Amino acid sequence: MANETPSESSATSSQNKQPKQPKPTQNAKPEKAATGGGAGDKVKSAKDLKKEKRAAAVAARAVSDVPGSNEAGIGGRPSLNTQNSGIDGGRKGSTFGQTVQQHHQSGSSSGAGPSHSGAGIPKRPNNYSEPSALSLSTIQQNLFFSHLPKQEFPDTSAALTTGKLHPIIIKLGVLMSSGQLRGSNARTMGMMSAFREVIRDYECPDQAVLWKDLPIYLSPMIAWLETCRPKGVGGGNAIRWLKSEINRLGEQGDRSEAEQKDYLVEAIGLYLRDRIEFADKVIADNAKEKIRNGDTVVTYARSSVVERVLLEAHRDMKASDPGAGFNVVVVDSRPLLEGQQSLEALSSAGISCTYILLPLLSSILSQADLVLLGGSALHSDGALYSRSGTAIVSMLAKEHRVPVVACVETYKFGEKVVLDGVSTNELGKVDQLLINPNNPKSNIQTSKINNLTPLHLVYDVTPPSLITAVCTEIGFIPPSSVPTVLGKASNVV
Amino acid sequence: MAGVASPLSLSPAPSARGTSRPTAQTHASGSQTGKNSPKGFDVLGAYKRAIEDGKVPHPIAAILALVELVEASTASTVTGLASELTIGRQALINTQLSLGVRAGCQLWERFFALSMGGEDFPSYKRSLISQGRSFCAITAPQCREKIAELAVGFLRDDCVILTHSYSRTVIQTILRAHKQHKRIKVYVTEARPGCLGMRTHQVLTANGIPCTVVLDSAVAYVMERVDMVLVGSEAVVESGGLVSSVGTYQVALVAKSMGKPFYALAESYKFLRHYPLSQTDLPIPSISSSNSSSNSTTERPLIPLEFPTLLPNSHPPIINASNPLSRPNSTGSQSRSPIIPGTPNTQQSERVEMTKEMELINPMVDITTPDLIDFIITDLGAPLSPTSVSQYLVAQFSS
Repeated sequence: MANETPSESSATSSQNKQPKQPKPTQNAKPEKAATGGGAGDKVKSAKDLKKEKRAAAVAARAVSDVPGSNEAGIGGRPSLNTQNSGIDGGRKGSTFGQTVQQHHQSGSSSGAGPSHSGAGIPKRPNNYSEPSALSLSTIQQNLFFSHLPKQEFPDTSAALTTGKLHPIIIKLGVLMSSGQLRGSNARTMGMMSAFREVIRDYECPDQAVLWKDLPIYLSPMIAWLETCRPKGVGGGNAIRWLKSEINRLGEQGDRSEAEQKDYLVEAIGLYLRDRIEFADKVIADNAKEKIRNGDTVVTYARSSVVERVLLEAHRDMKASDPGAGFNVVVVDSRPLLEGQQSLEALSSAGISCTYILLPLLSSILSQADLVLLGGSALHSDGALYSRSGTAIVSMLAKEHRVPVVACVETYKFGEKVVLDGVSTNELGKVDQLLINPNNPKSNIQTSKINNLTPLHLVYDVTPPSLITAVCTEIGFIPPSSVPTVLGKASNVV
Repeated sequence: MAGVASPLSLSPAPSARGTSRPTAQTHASGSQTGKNSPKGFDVLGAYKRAIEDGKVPHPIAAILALVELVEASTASTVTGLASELTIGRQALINTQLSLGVRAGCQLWERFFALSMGGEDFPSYKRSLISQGRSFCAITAPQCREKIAELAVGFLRDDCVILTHSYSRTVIQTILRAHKQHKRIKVYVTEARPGCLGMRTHQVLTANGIPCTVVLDSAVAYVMERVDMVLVGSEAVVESGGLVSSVGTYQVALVAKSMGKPFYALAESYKFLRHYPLSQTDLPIPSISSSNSSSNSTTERPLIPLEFPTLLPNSHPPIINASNPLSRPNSTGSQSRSPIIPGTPNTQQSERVEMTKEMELINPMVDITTPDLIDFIITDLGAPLSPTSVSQYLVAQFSS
């Protein structure tokens, strides 16, 4: 039981993150004990588990009526739970059972509440050992982040054999999944250019109508790209736009297939030009006005727009006064270390740069004049969805009263409201996470430890209160004005 | 005590407004219009004429000047007229310090762009002129009326108001409340360097409203007996903040920390498309550069920051202490050697004055951040929160 002690922390975290679950345990527990320990859990079918849970929910309601029960407030939430297990079947259920076990072994120290420890729940026999070699994905399902899509390398051969996917789409999917095509602008542009090629090559079947058949033809490709890497708000907006364009072909009628295809190809080109390329140009024009001689500008990780702003600001400043200049502090963080690419581009252009990792930021910020951020999306409440770590940068900047400007094109504006970085996010690759570059020998072998969850979330959410201004192609706007822009989105550009 | 009226040696009636135009403008305007407007129309002169009587606000004066430019224009196409207007606008924006001018120019530009097309050119030009004139003569004054009407509801009977500097809209609101037989007591800041608070005092006492002038440094002192703060503005920016005569920001800060409501009055033609990130981030033409290029006297209002003559001249450190603008490091050196360049010159003249350099770094306006403002009362209808102001602006400009 050497690994019991470390398991406590993971159990605690999983317990914290599943506040809606303590109820079922009370009821489910004795049954499990009757079936003879942990191994029995695995063979239990999904149906049985569902039954159990339903019973547990009923019991929970009954218990919550008891005055003084400390869990009375969370009685209304089991629905979420049953839904999850419904989706994922028995496997999910079994891991859930293990969570429960750990949770109880760690005892009341995990804050489970008196009602549990006092309920006479059978303890596991001491010689019980955890099921060995949980795969990473199983562990991650254990967690709070189990709802997030799994990151698996796409099965290209299977994709090829279906015959429904255009080769360029498969190529694009692999590029996205491997991280070679990174950044939401690059991905959206890649995706739309790929679809342009697909539409060029597309031939409408004789008995079909183009505007009806094309979306059906495209949808498996869109779905496949989604499995490679979620397309994000910007990509989603672009796809929605494309579908509405195809639909509009139906209204126009009497045009030959070639004309319709030409129209779509041209429209995609215009979309890419207006919404991304020109937008970036205008953003750069707007934002560079805010950078003045002698300023210190802080950026985080890598953003194509921010890079462009800095390069153009530098060029303009040098053109007007060769002696003028500004400093850039590139803030970076593991495991992606994207800032290094940014650093390369900026320093090779002659901008004086400083490179730091995120922990050092608080010491640097007192000298900064401006924080420039890129973003993957801007939600309708003005929250910025960007590379994880951005929220910390903005928080520190707010603390130091440094203005924070987010450079976001309007095509990335999302109509959703996201309250935290938990409900929507992406799980990144974890293989680099536990590698210590300074001491390669100390590498922790993730495969050997089954109570360790390396977690890498790709994005986080910066609340609007931390953002001073959003720089878009329609100018600077406060984050509170995002809905106004969204309402007029059809008129913009 | 509270009536620390400081009628010191106020500069003899600051010409039109504290932020209004300087005396020596002819040089710049003469040289600029010569090359800028090919038809020889003096847009700056027109602007100056419009602003002179002191009743017309900056944005409206700018629009009037541009309307006159259209009238004088001999261009025969829309494009030609547009390019002349652009030149005229640039001339105004680049020489005038008031951000209101920029706001007026932006408004006119938008109006020009939206009304374009349809008719033939001469009738288009005629309608442009008549609409511009009617806007300046009828709509604009109505704005102030409307604001006063809306804002007067905020003024209770027997309330104490603190206002900063001089604003015609604020005065109109207070007078209106007075006419409704509300008993109102007003504190007004002296508002250096323009000292326009004295003007507010003058107008209000002439109308029989009890008014007390307080020092700018006494704002926190009087705040506890004040019910609300009411200020005017020079421009409203896209963040929902307020550009107003210097000192408004600190009044707002004090009001916020003491929990007093802070209301701003702004006509909608003062809405400015600009998003300042800091106090220094305002599109005010830099004086030093225009100086070096045109070699003329500054466009800056020449209201010398005077120091009370009753202070003994032999104590420069004390004088310096009353001058908040000198840098801390220069203070240190001054106490050691009183006569260095950049210190108030006490030897040559009887009066203690700021040096030119000191005046140059002295701001005329500051930005009150939106989080400090409770409501901006405009002519657009119900009082707006700063957030809705910025939403309105974004909706206007993004279309």
